Amino acid sequence: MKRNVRERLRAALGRRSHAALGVLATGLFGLGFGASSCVGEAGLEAYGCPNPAVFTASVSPYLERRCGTLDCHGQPTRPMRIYGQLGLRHPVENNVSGGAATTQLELESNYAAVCNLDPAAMQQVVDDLGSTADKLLLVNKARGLERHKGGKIVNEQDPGDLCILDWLGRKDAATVAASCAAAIEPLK
Amino acid sequence: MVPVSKGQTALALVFVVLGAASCNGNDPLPQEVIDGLPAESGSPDALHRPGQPCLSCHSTYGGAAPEFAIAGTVYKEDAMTGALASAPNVKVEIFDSAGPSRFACTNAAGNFYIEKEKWADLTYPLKVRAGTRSMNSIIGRDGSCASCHKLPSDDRPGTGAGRDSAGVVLVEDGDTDPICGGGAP
Repeated sequence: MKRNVRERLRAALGRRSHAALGVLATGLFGLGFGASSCVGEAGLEAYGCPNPAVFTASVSPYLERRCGTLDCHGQPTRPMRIYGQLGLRHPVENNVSGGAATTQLELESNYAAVCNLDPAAMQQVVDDLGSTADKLLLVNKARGLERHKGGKIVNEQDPGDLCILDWLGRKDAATVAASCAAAIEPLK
Repeated sequence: MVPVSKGQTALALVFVVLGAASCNGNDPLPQEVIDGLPAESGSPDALHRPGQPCLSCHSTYGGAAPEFAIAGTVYKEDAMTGALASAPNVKVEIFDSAGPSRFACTNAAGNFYIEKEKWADLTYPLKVRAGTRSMNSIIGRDGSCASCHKLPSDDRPGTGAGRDSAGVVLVEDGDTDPICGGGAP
C-alpha cells in the first residue's frame, strides 16, 4: 500500500516536472523570439531619401509653414510630425511655439518624418530620380488624391507641389529654393 | 445570389451596430478635449468659457448650438500687474483662402465667433488679424483659436506659450476698433 502511494506520488511529480519543464521551455522560446524581434540598428533596413541639405534649407521651411501648424502636422499624434518655429517644438529642447528659430534637431526630425513616411516608395523615387514621385503619400495627400484630413493642399505644378517634386527629383539647390520660396511667400 | 449563413448575417449585424455606435459621440480625440474641459461656471451664453476651444462643443460633433465656423478669445496684459485680462471691442478679421475677409468683434469676455451657417463656404487655410496684430502662421484646419492658443498652466506659465501652444491671443491695451464699439484704432 505504502509503496503504491509512493509510486503514484513519484509518477505525479514526474508529470508535473515535465509540465513545468514544458512551460519553462515555451517561456524561454517566447523570450528568445521576442528578443530577436527587437533588432539593433544593424538589423534595420536602410532606405534612401533625397538630399538632406536641400530639404533642411528649402523644403522643411515650406512644410513647417504649410503643414506644420499646431492644428495639423504640428501635433504629436501625427505620423508625419513636423516641428518648427511657428508650430510644435521638439520635446528634448525647451523652445516655445513662436519663439526661437527652427533648430537643427527639428530639421533633422522633419527629414526623418518625411523620409520614413513611405520608405520603400521613397527608395524607388531615389532610384528613378523622382519619376515615381506621384506614388508617394507625401505627394498624393498634398494633392488631395489620397484621403487627407487637411484636404487638398496643392494643385499639380503649384509652387508648393514643385517645391517637393524638385527636391524629390534632385534638382539643383537653387531651383528647389526658388520653388519653395515661391510657395512660402503667400503663407507669410 | 451568394448563400449567406446565419452566423455571417449575425456577424454583419454586429459590424453595422458597432459602426453606428462609433459615429455617436465616441471619437476619442475630440471627446478627450471635451472631457478635459472644466465644469461650466456660469450660464452658457456668449461670455462663457473664455480661452477654451469653442468648436469642441459648438460643432457637429459637440452638438452645442450654434455651430461656429471660427471662434476664440482675445486677451490683453494688465499694464500694472502683467496679468491677462479679456480684451473687449477688438476687431478680429479673418481672411480665408477663397473669398473676401470677414470680421467679428470681441465681447466683454474677449470672446468672438462667426456662426457656421453664416460662413458655410469657409476655406482653409486662414489668416487672422486681431486688432493691429497679425498671426505669424496660417490656420490649417481648426476653427478653435484655443486649440493652439492655450491658456496658461503649470507647465505653460505667463501667456500660455509652450512647446505645443503659441500662448493666448494677445493685443495691446487699447487696441480696439470703433466698428466694434471701441475707441479709435
